[in-house]
Amino acid sequence: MLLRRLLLGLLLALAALLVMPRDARAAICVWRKPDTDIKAFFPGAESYRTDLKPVGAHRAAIERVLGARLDPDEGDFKFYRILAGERRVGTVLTHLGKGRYGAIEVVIALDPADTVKGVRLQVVREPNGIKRQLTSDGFLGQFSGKRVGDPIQVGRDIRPVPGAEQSSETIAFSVRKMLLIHEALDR
Amino acid sequence: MGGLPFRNLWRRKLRSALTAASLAAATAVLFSLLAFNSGYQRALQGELDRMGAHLLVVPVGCPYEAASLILKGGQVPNTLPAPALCEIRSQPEVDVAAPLFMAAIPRPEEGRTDVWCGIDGEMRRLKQYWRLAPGSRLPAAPNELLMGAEAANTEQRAPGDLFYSEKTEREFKVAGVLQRTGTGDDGFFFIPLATAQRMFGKPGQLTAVAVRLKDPTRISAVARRLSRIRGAEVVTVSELMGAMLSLVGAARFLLLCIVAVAVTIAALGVLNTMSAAVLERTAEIGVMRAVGASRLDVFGAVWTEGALLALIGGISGIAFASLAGRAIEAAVRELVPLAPAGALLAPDPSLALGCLLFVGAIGALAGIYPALRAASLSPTAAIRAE
Repeated sequence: MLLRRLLLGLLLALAALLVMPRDARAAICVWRKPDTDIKAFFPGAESYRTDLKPVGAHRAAIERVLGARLDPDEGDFKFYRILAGERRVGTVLTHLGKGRYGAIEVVIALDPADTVKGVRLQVVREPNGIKRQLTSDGFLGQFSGKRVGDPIQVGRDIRPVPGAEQSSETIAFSVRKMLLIHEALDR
Repeated sequence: MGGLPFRNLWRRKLRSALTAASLAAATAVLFSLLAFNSGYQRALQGELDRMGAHLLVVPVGCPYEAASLILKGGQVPNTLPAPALCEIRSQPEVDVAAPLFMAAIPRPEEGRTDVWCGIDGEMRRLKQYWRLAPGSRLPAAPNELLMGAEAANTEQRAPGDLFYSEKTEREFKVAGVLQRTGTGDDGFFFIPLATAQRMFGKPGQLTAVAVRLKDPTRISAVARRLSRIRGAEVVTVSELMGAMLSLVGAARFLLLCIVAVAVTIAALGVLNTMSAAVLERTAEIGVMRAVGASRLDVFGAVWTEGALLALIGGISGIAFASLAGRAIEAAVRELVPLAPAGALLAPDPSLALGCLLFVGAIGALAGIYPALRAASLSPTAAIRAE
């Protein structure tokens, strides 16, 4: 009996190694500062768990609603479940977008009702004055309270940072896209 | 008689499985180590060949460290004086002398380092393997940038885009993106040499000059002459390869010792398992002898069991090492200093067969003593002992 279990375990481990998709280990946008973000967005929470969600058959539907193609590399998305003890107190999503001067990595914190609790930029390559405005509460705070399906349009619902319209668009698109993906894959 | 060894192993499943597992572990380590040995050398050779240079002229200091940093991307503390390039180019044997200014900007918050390389047109002659992505061209203006494939992917840049360096507060236009090369170049930002020197406040200074000779057989004579340049040292590509191989040599020897211990323990495991099996089956062996089995038959049956156990362990070990190759390679890459970009593990069928034969031979040797003991039992004594 013990031997059968041992062999079964070994076989399962080997099978997992064989079938593990490449994207499962290739982070598209890593979450760089979990401790700092948890402390800032979810005071009292102490840990997180990573759920890997494959896009699979949802790809076409997501692209239709989003109005844009997903990157071929975006085969899986990571949802970071924030935990206070055993209780789930929120989710963190990350996204890599194309800013005017370089990559912009966006961290989006959702509360248990899937409403945006806060947004932080973990990587921005913009001239320093613009970077300060893009990372300010004045700009990022506009996303708080947004839910999937809410209008998040720069110029109408979101005031862009003057001189950084493209990067403001990128950030707004990242939030809208990740809310949509979270809704589609977490249903 | 043919199926007897199989049946006997199956009768003691747990013991057989544990012995085979110890052999599998030893085989997996041996196979991975040998695959690493050939893979590392091949990857390193490939990376050095792709440099396109026969030798590097670097600033005084540790020439190997400087050359390795240049290969993988990093900050070399010293610089070569500007006249060094003219002296190198004046040598009649020199075909290409490509100057390089390299600087690194750490971005600890993002867990990465931007590596900036100042180059001129000669670098393109040296790196003939470079292929530009569609819509790309080499930087012509002082504020133009050529990005490695990985750098462009990380920064989400394409030809025509803008790029900003925060630390040096400079704006660039992306003139081109390189197709993936499998070398350190994939992560670099290439800009005109003079721009790089100004950007990092070292006008006229160089980090290195990569040299290709018209006739590679003249390498020693040219290296000797170039090493007389003030403030410069010369390192040939073969010297660089030797230095890097010796870096991992000590670790490899230690690992070989561990493999030797693991194989010895596994062999003792086979010896122990087979001896215990012979003791338990004394009466059975006596009956076999009584019904006409010769000493050779008994020896063959017990010895085959040991060899079979080793074979099963060997095959499982090689299968495991092959399946876990990617994970092993990732772990090795973390541990090995200046790991080249190519595949570090080069497992091939002949290597697998060699390992299998070796482990099979170990099992066969370990099985001789128990087999001899079994064969020496007399039928009556064996039955009486039971």
